[in-house]
Amino acid sequence: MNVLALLRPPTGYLWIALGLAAVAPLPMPAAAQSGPEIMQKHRQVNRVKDEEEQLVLRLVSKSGAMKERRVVRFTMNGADDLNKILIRFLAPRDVENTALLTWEAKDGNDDQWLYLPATRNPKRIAAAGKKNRFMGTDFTYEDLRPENLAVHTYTSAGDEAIDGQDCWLIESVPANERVAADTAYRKRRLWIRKDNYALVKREYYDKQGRLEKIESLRKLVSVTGTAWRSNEFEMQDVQNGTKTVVVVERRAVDRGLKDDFFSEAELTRGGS
Amino acid sequence: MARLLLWTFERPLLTAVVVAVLTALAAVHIPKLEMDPSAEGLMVANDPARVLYEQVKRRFGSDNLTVVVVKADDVFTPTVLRAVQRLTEGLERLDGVTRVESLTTVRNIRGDGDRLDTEPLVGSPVPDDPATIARIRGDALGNRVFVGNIVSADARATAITVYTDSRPRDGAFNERFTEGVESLIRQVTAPGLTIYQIGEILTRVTNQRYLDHDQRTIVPIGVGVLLLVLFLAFRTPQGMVVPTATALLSIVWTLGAMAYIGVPMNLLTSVVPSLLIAIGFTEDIHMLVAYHASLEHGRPKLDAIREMLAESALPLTITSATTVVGFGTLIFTDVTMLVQFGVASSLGLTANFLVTMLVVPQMLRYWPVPRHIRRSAFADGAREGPLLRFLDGLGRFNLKHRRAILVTAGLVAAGSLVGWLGLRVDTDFLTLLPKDSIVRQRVADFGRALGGALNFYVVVDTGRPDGVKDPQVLRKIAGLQDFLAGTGKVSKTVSVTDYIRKMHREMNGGDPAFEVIPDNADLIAQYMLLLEGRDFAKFVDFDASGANIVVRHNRTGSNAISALRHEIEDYIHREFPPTLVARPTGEAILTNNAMDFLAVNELQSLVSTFVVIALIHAALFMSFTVGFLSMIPNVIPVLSVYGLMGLVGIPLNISTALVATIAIGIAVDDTVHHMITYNRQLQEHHDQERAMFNTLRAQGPPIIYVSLALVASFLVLLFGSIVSTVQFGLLSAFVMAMALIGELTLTPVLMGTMRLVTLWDMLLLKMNVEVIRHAPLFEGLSRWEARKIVLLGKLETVGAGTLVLRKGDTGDELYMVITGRLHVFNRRPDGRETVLAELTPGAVFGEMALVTREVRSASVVAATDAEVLRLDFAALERIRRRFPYTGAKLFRNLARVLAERLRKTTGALVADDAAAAASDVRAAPGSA
Repeated sequence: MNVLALLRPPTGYLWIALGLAAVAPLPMPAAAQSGPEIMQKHRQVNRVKDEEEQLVLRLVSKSGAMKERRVVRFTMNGADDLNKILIRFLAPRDVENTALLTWEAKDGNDDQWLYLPATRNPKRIAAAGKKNRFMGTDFTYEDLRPENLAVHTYTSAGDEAIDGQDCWLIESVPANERVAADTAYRKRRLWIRKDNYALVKREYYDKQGRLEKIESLRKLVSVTGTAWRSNEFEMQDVQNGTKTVVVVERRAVDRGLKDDFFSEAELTRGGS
Repeated sequence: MARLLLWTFERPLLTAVVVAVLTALAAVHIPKLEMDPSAEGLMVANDPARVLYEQVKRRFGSDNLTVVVVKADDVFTPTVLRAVQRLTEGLERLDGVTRVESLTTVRNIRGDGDRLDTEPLVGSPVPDDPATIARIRGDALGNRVFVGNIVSADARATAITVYTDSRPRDGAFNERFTEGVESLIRQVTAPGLTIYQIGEILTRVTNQRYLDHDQRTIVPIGVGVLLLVLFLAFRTPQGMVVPTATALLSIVWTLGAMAYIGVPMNLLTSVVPSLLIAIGFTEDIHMLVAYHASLEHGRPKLDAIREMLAESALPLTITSATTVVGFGTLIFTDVTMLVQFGVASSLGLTANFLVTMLVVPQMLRYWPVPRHIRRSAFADGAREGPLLRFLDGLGRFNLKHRRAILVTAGLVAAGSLVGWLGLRVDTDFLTLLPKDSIVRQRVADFGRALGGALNFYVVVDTGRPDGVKDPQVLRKIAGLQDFLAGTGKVSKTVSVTDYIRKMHREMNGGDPAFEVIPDNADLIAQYMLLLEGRDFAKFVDFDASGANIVVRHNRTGSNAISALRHEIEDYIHREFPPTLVARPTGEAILTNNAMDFLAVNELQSLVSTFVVIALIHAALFMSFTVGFLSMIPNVIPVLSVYGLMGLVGIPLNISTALVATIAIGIAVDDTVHHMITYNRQLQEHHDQERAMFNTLRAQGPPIIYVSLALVASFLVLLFGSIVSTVQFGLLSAFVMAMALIGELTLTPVLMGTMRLVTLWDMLLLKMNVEVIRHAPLFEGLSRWEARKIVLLGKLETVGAGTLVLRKGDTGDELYMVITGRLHVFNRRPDGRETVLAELTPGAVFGEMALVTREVRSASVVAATDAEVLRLDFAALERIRRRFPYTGAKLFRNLARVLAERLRKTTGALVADDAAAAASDVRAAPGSA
């Protein structure tokens, strides 16, 4: 009796298996992916090394009045999938060069620096301010980051179509008590498109479990490889009746930004 | 009108159907009646400040807030902070809550070296370690925005501010919310903690509860008092049931009409049902008195009712009309609540009139005749009782001290005007509640513990976007804040400058020297960029063109608020450049505006009431003099009550201001009854003194009972909880008492100076057309004028055979025959009588007496039943004074009559002379 002979798969199946393995990297909408799996995939395909965006922020009040700000945002994805982000105001004139620098940290206690051009030195800001709204917009600091998979627990909640596109519906809650304390939301829901893993909609629920905000991401463009970005996204505060619309005027990815770009020196330099 | 009433009386079925239908219609609408416990109705309709206020609310949020206060020995302990957190979270979940601000929600700004923290002051979960707690304490007490605002300087009290949707008229929401907060407080409260809520919503709910309580207790007591008086007066259940039934029906109709039109039950309109009871009861007494009088004189029931209707028609119509007018003038004021009250009371009084007209006669029809009429206070028998003796004595007093009475009235009026000078307009909502009310106690406590429980805004407009970022502007705002602090009249002001100053300090390492407004406008813009958020939206509007100063204070009186507002406006006028516009605004400011209007409006309404009622009376009695004089006994009580208020220091506020209007409405009724009765007496007896006595006897008892009952029921209001109700009761009782005194003394004295002719009598008098056309005395007179003369003279009916004039009597009247025939005759010494002439309608006799005062030259007897008009000197004088033009024509006619007599006499003399001459001539021959 040759036991090894029994263990060897039939040669035909081997070729088929190898063939399949060759085409495996292509994203295939699998029958039942879990929440974390989907999110991992979402991050993975949409990750770029670095990114520069010139954004117009339109803040719309409850009565429909609008004010406009212009910023440039640099993002760099580094080790452990942690980001460094630099945001600088371009307009209006009296806040030009106001800048915010963020270094994400593994434990969620990010480092942040704020620079007001009319002062001399930048200030370090406490991380607990993450749930504060960014400069009068409807986005909080945490909203403006890419999904931080480490601090959230994701569960798949079925499927839904948004604008005719099939999406996975994912529910996200803070991973632990400490994270829960830092965040403004008890729960969020995310809609990830099945075809390209792009995020198209997010709902934010406040600590009382009531729907607070709805984020819609439109005008999706492919920026490189598998990565997609939205060129126009909007955060609507349903409780207050305000909304912020962000329009991407210009984007450049993978330009090779370095760590030292995301420094206090760059923060205070101004003009870019 | 009497005809209409009698017609309706004869159709009980139709009347019943109509009444039933109207009642059903009204009853159907009553559930829709809106309750409005707010003070919104006090704002002036179309006040431009109102428009501004609504805009301000949209820009900066509502100034309507509820505060939950937590007191402890030291609020900076984990226990208290956890309690605050639980309360905050619970409050955020309540229906209608838009935002909650507390120690656990606010962001602190702290700068330390190169760090800037803008984290929440108190983290979640609440920290336990003493170091962190100490840090929190230091941060909180070192933040100018927090101290005196959400935490007291001595750390013994903290405030949780709750912003809600504004639903002022939704009584159910207010109740639910208040109860929701109370329930939360109960859950969280612990030993060592004192927690309570205060705010506009609680005040409204409390107000409503007091109003409800008063309605439930005072109104029944008041009604009980009235019923008691009715029983004492009439001694029969009929006397109580009839007025009660009419009052109830008219209340139902009124409430239904109010619901249909959309007039809510508010602070003022809730008085209307009681008003209807009081006024309706007055009329019912007069009617029942008339009815019982007829019964007493032996009339069968139905006839007695008809007599009652005939007699009451005029007074009832007039009094209803004047009362409706009196309250109706309020509709033309500017304050919404007053307008609503005017509408509701006019509706109610009209309803009351209709109900009385339709229902009372029918009720009496089906009610068996009371057995004990003679026992009633109004019966003839009672007229010999003490009340009558009192009235007779009063009559004598009036006659004897006529001048003294007039002088006293004048003094009272003058004295009142002096008191009027001291009158203030001041509505203070808080002091309207009873002293021991929870709301008042808490507001006082909160004022001591933390600062002002009330707030208003001062809104600064730069007129351009980002205007607020200008350091100059911020300095001006800060200057205003310093000024306000310096007045000592506000407990705290918070504005954008406080945030900027705090930020600037913390951006410079927490150095207090930097707690100033920076010079750099860009820096300010950058600070604002950081501060932007919901907390900040209260102080700077969306495009930063306007800034808001939130002023916290404890001033509750409209006077105080007015004064403060003027101080602010003066400062702004002095210190702010023309491009920088600043205005105080807020709910308190708006209702305060209304107070300023209130006094003026009330006065206008009062004056127009007087004028219109005087005009109605003038029309009724066809004389402006009478109209004017009839108001004097009603003006003086009103003057006196305002004078009293000024002297004693009761302010003119929303409730007390109404006293005058209500008093007029009620008091004027008595005057009308008085005058109409006096007039009828005068017609009958042609003797002013006698007329006065009789009038006092006839009208005195009803007037006295009515007035005393009203005084008693107003005094019942002293048991009310709301201070304004108590003041209202006291003042109304006072004015009714004064009106009663005036009615019994001043009115008779004034009436005595004039002879009254009413429009009514004019219309009723049937004059023989022929007489008017052909009577020489009435030549050139219209029917109207002829009637005036007849009514100012005395119409006498004489039976056939009555001697009207006796030869040899002295007399100073002339007569004119109206109907029938009279004979002028001479009794010869031998007893035979010769008819010298026959007098037919239109003939004048006795006129010589006017020219000479000779004795009558012949006698006149009535050959048939006849009516003769008697005019004496006095009558002629009255005619001359009252109706000069008519009088002139009359005298001309009289002259013609006399001339005619003279001509006849001269002619007769000439004829005699000629006859004598002729007989002389015949007798002449033979004699030398």
